[in-house]
Amino acid sequence: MRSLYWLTLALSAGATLASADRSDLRGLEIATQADKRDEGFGDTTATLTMTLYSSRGETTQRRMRARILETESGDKRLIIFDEPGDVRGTAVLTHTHLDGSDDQWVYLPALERVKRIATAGKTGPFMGSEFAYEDLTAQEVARYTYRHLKDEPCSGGQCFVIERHPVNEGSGYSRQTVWIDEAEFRVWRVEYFDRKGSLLKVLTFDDYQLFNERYWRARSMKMENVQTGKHTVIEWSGYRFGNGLTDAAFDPARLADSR
Amino acid sequence: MANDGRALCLVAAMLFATGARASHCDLTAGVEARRYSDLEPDAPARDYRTLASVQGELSCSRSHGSQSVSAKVFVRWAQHGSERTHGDIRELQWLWTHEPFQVRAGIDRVFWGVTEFAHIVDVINQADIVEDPFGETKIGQPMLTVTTSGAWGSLSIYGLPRFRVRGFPGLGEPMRPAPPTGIGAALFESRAGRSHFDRALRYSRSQGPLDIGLSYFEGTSRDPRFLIGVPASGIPESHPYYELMSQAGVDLQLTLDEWAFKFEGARRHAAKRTRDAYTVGIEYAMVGVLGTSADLSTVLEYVRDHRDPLPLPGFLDDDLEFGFRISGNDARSSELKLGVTSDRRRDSRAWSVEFGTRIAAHWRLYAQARVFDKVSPRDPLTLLKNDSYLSLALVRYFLSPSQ
Repeated sequence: MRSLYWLTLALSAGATLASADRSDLRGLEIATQADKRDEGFGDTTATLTMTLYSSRGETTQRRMRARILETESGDKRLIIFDEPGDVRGTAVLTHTHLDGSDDQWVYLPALERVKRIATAGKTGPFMGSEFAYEDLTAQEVARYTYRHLKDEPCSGGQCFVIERHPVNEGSGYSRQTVWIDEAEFRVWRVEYFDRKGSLLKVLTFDDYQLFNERYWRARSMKMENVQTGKHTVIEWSGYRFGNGLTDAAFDPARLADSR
Repeated sequence: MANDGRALCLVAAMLFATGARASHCDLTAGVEARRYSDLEPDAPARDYRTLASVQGELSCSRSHGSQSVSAKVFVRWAQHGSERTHGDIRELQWLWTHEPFQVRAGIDRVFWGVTEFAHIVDVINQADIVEDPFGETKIGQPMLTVTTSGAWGSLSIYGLPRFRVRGFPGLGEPMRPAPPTGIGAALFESRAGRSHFDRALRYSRSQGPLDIGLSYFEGTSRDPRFLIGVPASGIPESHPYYELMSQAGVDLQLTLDEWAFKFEGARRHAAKRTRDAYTVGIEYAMVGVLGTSADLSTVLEYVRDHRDPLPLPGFLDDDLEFGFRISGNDARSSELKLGVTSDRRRDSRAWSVEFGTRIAAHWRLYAQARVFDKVSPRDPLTLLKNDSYLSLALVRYFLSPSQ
């Protein structure tokens, strides 16, 4: 379904496509392949521990749980905060759309209120960390245009290096460079360039684990802000697939019941 | 409270009967110090000027398969004012999910609406004005709710068997939005009194950038008017009088990138008269303000409310409201909020400023100021005009490990 959507989009941009060189097509092919490898996971739940490191080495920790549902029109994601105590019970629900216009709601336990929030917030930092909301939402193929730069060795073996430019003007980045291994199409490194074109952040993935003999998930993600010297590490644990989650669990009308 | 006690026992029994698998209890405890402004020369005497208090909120939940039970109990002990020391069962309910239905029974708090200042359509819960005279804090309401949802939206039916009256701070205490007399017994239009069975219905749906809510309520109004009575003692008392009413409401929010457009409207029928109210608002969100990592969200709203008596905060009848919230996005999750309401016809203005920051892993510090800098004697706000205050609170969170 996703590739079909992409195909339609690509055809409608036929003129651009005609002038595109081989590296653009190759870049798109790699991104599509990586996306396809992850299709059919159904749903996932996991626990995240996020550690924020200041430039002076001070640390702060957050703990949260994530529930992800795969749907044809884009993934639905629910994040429930457990720690620190003053945010316990806060829940953020995102309905991802292929074109990048996500819908987002937040449940604030102190107010016992569900609020629809402006999507512009996705370029902002997630919980004071070096991750932006948009770094943590689903990386749908149609959100970027691609270019294959080169192939080179990386921490995951031999990698394709592709450049992607966000289609949506609302992104906080001008472009990203992504390292994807040739064997399993896993992402190992992403470099984020700010809107002025300077390198802003570097994300590295580590400790990949295979689930259901098909789905690779990194247990560690480290985001370094090269401009401020701060970094954030997310450790994922307790990945579970096939929990039988349905759309109802991702209904904004039920967000207040998320526990 | 006798009823609450029985309900508590029932849910406690259910907590154990469900043979819970996932459960946790969290406690939030805090101390607060508050100082009220100087009295104007013509103002009535006040019992105290500074107030220290301790508060606690215990919230527990257990779930097992399709069932869960949850409880939230709030208590505050205050240095002065017999009414300030109070407690309430905010939530005590059993929830059963059987797709596409959800059934809940017990005590709960329900919020309807989208705007920040006036809550035109929100009618289910009574306000806890001892905690917050502006009505943002609600007390628990006994209810039975059935919700069903699907691609077409979500529909909830509420049965509300027991009415809860509004509690007032004592005469002579600051922040008391009531006539300057003692409060007499509550009176009801319905012969059934507080046992009148109220009913409500709500449909909501999110469709692309649009969130729609339609609601209907029929029962005893949560907002009393006051009838003056003179008992044998000869000292006049104000009796809160609760009318029967029906209210239809609509709330809409259109969210487009960094903009949100909001509308709430209601038509209330009470005492053989029909009165309307609406509020419109616009919100703009900005990230990375002035090259920092902070988010800024600004809100401009207008409210026109013809209902009588006016719902809380009790003075928003023809008012412009402006507010902003800065979220620092820092490791301490600092947040600064400002709100100001200004009456369009009378020369009245009220301010509120709040700041919160985490000072250690499980500690948060809050500072708040409420200022009534201009109040027309014809504005209902005049009841609070001498009660500007500054407060400082320290809160500690005790968490049980979750699931």
